[in-house]
Amino acid sequence: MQEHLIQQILMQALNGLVWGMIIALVAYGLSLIFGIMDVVNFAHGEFYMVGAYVGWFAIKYTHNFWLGLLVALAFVALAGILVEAFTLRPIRGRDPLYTLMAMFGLSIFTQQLILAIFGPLAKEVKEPLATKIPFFAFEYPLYRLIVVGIAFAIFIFFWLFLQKTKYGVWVRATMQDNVMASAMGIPVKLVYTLTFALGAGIAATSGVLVAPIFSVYQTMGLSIIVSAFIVVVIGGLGSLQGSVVAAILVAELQTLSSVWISPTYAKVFSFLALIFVLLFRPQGLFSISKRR
Amino acid sequence: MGNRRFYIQLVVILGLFIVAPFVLTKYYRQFLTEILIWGLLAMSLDLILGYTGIVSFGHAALFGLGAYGAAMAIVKMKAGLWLAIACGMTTSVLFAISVGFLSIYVRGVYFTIITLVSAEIVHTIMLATPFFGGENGLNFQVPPINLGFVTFSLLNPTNFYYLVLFFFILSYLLCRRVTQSPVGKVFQAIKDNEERARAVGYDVRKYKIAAFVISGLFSGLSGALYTLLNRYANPDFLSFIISGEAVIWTLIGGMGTLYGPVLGTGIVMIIGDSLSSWIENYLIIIGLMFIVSVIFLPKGIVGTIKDRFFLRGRLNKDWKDGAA
Repeated sequence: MQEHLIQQILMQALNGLVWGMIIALVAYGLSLIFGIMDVVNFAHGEFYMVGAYVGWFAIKYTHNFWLGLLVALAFVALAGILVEAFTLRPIRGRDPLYTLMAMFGLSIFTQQLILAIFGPLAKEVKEPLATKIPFFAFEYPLYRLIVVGIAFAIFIFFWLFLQKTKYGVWVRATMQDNVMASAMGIPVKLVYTLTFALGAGIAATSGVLVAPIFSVYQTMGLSIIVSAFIVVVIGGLGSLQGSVVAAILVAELQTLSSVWISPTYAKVFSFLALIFVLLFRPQGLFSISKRR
Repeated sequence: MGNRRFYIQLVVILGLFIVAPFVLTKYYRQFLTEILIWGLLAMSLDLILGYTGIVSFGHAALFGLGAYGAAMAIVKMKAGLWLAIACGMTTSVLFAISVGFLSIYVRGVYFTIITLVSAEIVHTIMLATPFFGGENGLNFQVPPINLGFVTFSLLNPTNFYYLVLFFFILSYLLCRRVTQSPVGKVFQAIKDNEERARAVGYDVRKYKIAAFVISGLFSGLSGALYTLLNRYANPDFLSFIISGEAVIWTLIGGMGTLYGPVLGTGIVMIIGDSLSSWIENYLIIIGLMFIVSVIFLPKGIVGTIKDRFFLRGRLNKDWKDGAA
């Protein structure tokens, strides 16, 4: 009995890690967009969802999971550029309420469009690797561990990108002070567009990665967006490390507590964690100070 | 002068609303009732969004708790109509107080996220707890209107319409009174410049909590009326789609006018209703409409009309007077 419980806890801890990395990918894009553009991107979950659908569609025709992943990434990043150009750019500089509501409209639009195109039935994506590896007394799907690896690779790539490249300097400068950055000759508008596209692209990647673990359905964006918001706030705006740590924390809270209580209540647990963090550290655990 | 004009307008509009059921078919009577209920929700949101400058993305919780409070009172306590509505409003107010206190610690967009997350907490709890009916929600028999000497059945849609109209007009007058009172002026000062309002010596936090709680009171009322209309309470009442729609209605109608949000609600609902009979996926168009109206109608319908026909004329006149 005791042994069984420990096994279950270990299993859930691993699941929490996988789920945490999935959330972290969505949350980091959200956090970047939030930190740089001051946009509360309510439609970010939709990029994740559309990514999963496009991935499913591409995999169905190419029979190659990794190709599907790339197609989804490219498609959604392109969609991100269009969304930024046609909805966010005209309302730049207005109260964040307006961008929030425009993104809410986009969220309804996207969900209904996907529903109209693909129908209400959930889509299944096969795991690209069927291998299971032994882990203590049970077996764990190798694919899920690879997901964690890919997510880490994406984060390391991003970190190098932000620290070592010219564009990274632009992004960091814009995040600190967009007016000054603009005065220094940084093409702030381009930074906005590329940030939005990148954020959308990694959300889509996350959506494709998660597709074989859960299934693909229109409301999957809604089911992750609240967790992602929580992660953004707990982790601190625009902080990469913060997003990863907070995402794992939130996901572990959700998965581990579901050993003892129903998964629905487990969600409430992670929500309460946010409220506590906000009470004691309103700026988040790893906030980057932002000059205004 | 201005006041007399207002009362004349009020009487005319009230007259139209009173006559409406005699002209409308049963379907549209019910539809108008719904518009008034949702309009009440948008109006209550306007108190904080348009007057105090607080963005709540969790009004579904206040609405839904009003609904659940009323439904629970009827199911578990066999409460009458008035008690049920009072229970609904009390539940919302209690929730608004507790969320309002959290707002002391966080500001701006963080508060918006707090409202969203706390609404999701309530949604999840209602969904997962059998005591509150779980996924199926609560079904009940709606009690009659008891005025002491006569009783009316609420199964009759016309009676229900007049009940809602009564509460709607009463709420409108109360909200208007609040916005024109000294307290309401402080709310607007906070919206215009929070720092300055604080510097002048107002306890901004207290006023913000007060605004949130007053808004919660009326949201709870609209939730209670909605559950009575449908004769069930469902976790869907707490879905954040409702929170978002309430903000959109308020924006489209025009923030800071009280009647604008009601107008916005009506227009969006009428467009949705007429589209839905033509197109299956009419929500695609509604979503697009939201985006387009946010971009092109930042002041909402009422604000845009005012600008175009009243303010601009006056500004031009002032300018000409100045030039002369």
